[in-house]
Amino acid sequence: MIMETLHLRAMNTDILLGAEGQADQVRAGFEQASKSIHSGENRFTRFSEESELSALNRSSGKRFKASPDLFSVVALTRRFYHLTRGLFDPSILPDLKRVGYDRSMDVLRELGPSPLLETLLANERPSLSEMDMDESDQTILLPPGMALDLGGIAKGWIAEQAANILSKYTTACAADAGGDMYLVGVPDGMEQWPVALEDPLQPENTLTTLKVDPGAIATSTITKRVWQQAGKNRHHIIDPRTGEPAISDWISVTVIAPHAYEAEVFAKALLIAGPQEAEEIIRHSGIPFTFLAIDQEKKIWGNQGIMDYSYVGSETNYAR
Amino acid sequence: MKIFRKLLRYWIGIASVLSFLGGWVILAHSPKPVQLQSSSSVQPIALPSLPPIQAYGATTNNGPTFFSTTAPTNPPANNTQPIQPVQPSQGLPVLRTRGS
Repeated sequence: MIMETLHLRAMNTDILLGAEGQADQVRAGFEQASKSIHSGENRFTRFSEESELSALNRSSGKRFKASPDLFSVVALTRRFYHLTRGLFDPSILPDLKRVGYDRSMDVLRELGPSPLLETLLANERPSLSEMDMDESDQTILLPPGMALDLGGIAKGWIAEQAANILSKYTTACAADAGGDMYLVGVPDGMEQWPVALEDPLQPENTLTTLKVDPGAIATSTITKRVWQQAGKNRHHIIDPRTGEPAISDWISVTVIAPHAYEAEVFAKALLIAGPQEAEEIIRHSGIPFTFLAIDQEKKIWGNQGIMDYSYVGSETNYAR
Repeated sequence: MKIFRKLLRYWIGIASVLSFLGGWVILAHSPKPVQLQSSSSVQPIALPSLPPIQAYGATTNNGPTFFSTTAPTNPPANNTQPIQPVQPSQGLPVLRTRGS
């Protein structure tokens, strides 16, 4: 048995697949998992007019027949919209575009600042609760003017799908999509997966290493995907209540949860919520997840559950 | 009638110039307005540190609680780890969670 890793670029982020098993099986698994990732990217990207998501967004006001995958992910967004009391809201796409994130991050970084776009403000957008989904014929009806961005949740969903495909060929595997990952099984001789937590204030450093059981871990931060627009610093975490980049005491939130899309969604929701509202979000979610947050003053916050994922050694840079 | 109009025009012209000069002199000798405090000189209010949030009891009574801690200003250098270069390799994958 060998442990192999494969690096690829998709969804405007670095993807890492790691798997343990027989060499030929691992490689076959990599091939299938890679296909799944690219297929998911082509389906869910908002940066291609050819994607199914773009077709859905163009259909607003008319009923759209969705593929099973798109229907599943959009159904998840509706569920998490309610569980996070609206802090997770994929219909903020017009706001994302207004603040300049109207092209992929790779292109945005290359072209520099973008102008202020005139789009609907947050309080003028239709609410996600107005979206109608019919499971019997797998159709979605977006109200007129609504457009969805499935960026983060789709990334988690794609990583989990890829890991599940890879696991059919291997004894243990991991799919890491830009830091949001799903882990299946445990490598031979180990009890958990070691996962380094990047320091959001000094990305070249590792803050600590967590020992994570099979499942998911994801981090959301306002220190990445940042740009300038008309002299203003912008980032991609939009507060749906204001339609503007979120202003929060926390700059980074890491969540360990059973599913990758849950970890991704709650990391983002808690980042927007900050310490004042996080307690309410956690209580209302009904999902057993653990979080660790870092605030502007380098304080580390978390729930006691994070202690179960005891740090490897005592290498944390921030005092606990 | 014509003379009256001409006199009126002169009178208005001279009165305007004199009023303007008079106003100028009054303003030049009046006390300067009090300067407003500039925003840069406003000192932020020192807020007390928030205490850790107590148990929220999500699932059980003795369930998880929030904790908060303070980071040292200068973390020891030997605690830092550089990011591993991304390249295909055998062995345990270097998993690193971060915002993206």
